[in-house]
Amino acid sequence: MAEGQEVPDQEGDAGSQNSQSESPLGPSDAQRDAKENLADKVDDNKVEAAGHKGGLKAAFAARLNSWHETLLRIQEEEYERVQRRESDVSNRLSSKVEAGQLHGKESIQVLIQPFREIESIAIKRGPLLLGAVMVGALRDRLQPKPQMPKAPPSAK
Amino acid sequence: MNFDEILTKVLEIAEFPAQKRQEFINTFYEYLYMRMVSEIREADEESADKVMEANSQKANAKKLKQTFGEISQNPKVKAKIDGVTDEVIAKLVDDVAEYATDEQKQKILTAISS
Repeated sequence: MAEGQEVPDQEGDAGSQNSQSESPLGPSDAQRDAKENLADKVDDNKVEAAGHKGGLKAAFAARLNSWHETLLRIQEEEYERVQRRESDVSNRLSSKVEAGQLHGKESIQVLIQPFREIESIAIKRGPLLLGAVMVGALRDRLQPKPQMPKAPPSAK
Repeated sequence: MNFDEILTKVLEIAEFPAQKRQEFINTFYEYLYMRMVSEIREADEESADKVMEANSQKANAKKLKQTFGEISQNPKVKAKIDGVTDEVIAKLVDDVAEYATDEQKQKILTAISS
């Protein structure tokens, strides 16, 4: 993110409001969605401010920061959710979390490697790879749209 | 071109610092993975557990792909997987569309056409 820019700290406000009404079992889906939407909005505002100030390079730097922040939040939430669940799988995962095998930056780096290798994440698209999705989206957004010919002035 | 190559090219054209490009790509995958697990969990807790467990057992790409294939038999899970993939990529592409110069956009279009 470009240095020196000011972005309203809506995220902190949202966190304190939500935490007041959270049950002991954790936030409801609606509360979590509202919090995530607000966090996304704040992230987008930061990227927008950086992009206007420093172009694509600065926008990407801000986007990278927002991913780091969101990752930390989702990781925390995911492991809390896993630990709250009562199932064989979640019990096994919880023990790994407690053993430090599933938490933290290094373990995530190891975990995503096979995920990264499969690339074809959107299963319904079959052989279409993530790269092809990206190329399609870039072409769609960046190619100049053909202009509609102006209608000839109607004869009076 | 695979996704890594495309994103690397876009980062080069954006003049993103060379020493941070790999971090950007790695973080993209981490972010997409965690968002996906989180979204899948909203549709079906067990499916999210399966993905996490496959990964916790250091699954290879084949095993993980098989797991994704199994869980996406559930239409709700499949919709979540597709939705979050489209959303994350769309946001990246939006950044390019909004903040790249015309020259950078042209270079990107040329790069992905080669």
